[in-house]
Amino acid sequence: MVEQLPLWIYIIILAVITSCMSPIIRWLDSSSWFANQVRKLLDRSSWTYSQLKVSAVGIFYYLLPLIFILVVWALTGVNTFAFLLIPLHYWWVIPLAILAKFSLNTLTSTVLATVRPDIQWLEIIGEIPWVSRLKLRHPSIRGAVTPTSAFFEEMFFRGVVFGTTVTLYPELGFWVACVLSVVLFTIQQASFCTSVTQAIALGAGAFVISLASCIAFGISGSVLPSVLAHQAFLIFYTGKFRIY
Amino acid sequence: MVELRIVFPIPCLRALLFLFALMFPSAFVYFVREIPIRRLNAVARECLPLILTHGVLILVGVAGRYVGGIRLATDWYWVLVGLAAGVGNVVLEYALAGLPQLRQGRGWPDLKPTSMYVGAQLWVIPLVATAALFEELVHRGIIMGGIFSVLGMSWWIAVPASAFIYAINHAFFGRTAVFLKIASGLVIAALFALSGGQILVPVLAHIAQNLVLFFHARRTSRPGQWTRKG
Repeated sequence: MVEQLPLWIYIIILAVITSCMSPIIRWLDSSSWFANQVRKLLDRSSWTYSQLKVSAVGIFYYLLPLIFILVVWALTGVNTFAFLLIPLHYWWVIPLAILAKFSLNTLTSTVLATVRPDIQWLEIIGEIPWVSRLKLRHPSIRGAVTPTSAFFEEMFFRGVVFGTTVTLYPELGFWVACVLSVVLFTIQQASFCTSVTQAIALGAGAFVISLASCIAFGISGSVLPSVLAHQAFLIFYTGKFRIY
Repeated sequence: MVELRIVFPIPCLRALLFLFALMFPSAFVYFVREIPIRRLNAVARECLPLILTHGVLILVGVAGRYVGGIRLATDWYWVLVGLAAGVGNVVLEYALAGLPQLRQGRGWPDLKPTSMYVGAQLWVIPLVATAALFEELVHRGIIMGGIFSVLGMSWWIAVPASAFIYAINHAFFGRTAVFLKIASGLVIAALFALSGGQILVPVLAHIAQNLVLFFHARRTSRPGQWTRKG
């Protein structure tokens, strides 16, 4: 157990890690060193080069939150994975969180379509780099990748940024931690976009998703409803209906 | 080890998440309309998603103890009042919808049959009744009951809040329907409050209102106008 950091330094560390995710992924994507490492794997794999590279980059996207969770666990003794447990009498938060995310996202997309009917919002979302890559893959890959990324995103942005922060700094209270989590998640999602319209389209969804997640966390004290709702949301939009 | 139990005792959080979930269940009506299911008629397309989403919300409401202050026992005269209010709501909505035309001096408009019910068969009546029952259980039982007993507010807040949320949830009928449903929602919510929380009163009123519209549409439309595809 180390001595507790001042709050502002802790928040700056969180913000730096959040803003590092997109540049690290972009650097991996463009670096020749990483391309060479992927080429070495080509002989052992039945996948093509681009498929292999995208998957390897995706694994790094999972690793970043995982490493941070382990570091926080080692330094402060707060095990973020313990937030996955949910008291049985709080089971009803899970369907409520799922319904809330679907409702809020439909609301924001309706508002966007009403305010700017001249923009094809679905096509704009389809042009986001990771979405357009995911579209080319087999449905089984899509069905495996999106729930996993949802799990790690929720573990970081709700488990660490909300839950662990409130455990370490109880004086923050619910609403400040909620705003921190919502703002960081929205910025992180928007940073993976290549234009302002894409950032608005994805950021609106990220905003409502993180808001509903934080409230579900605040009610049940568990990250499980948020994880399941986020996964259900992504499976619905990227899987069967192929909207993204 | 650090103790990991952070549950925030803020009652408005529960209300907020429930409100979020409830805010746009017409979204599910839109989704189901898009799914190409054969042999599913217009009434089932509207009613099944409503029954599904409101059924989940009722389960959640009971398990999460949102419900409070509901009476199942009903006085016989309130049954009559409820049925009369259902018929009265049809008249009220017709009058409100006809007001703009009346103000232009063109007289009262024709009473158009509800497009959803045109040519529908009798077997959809249980669907219509269940949808009405579930909607009332959510909007009167959980929302009004929750505002009364869980949040501890007065009926001056509960009645308009319930009517407003009820109206927003009928957005899939169009913009005009939202204004009409505020009026009929106010009537039903006020009856629920006046009867002291007898849940059967709003349920009967809603079912009566839907069935009046249903049989009116059946009478005025030609038989066999709606046929199954394929």
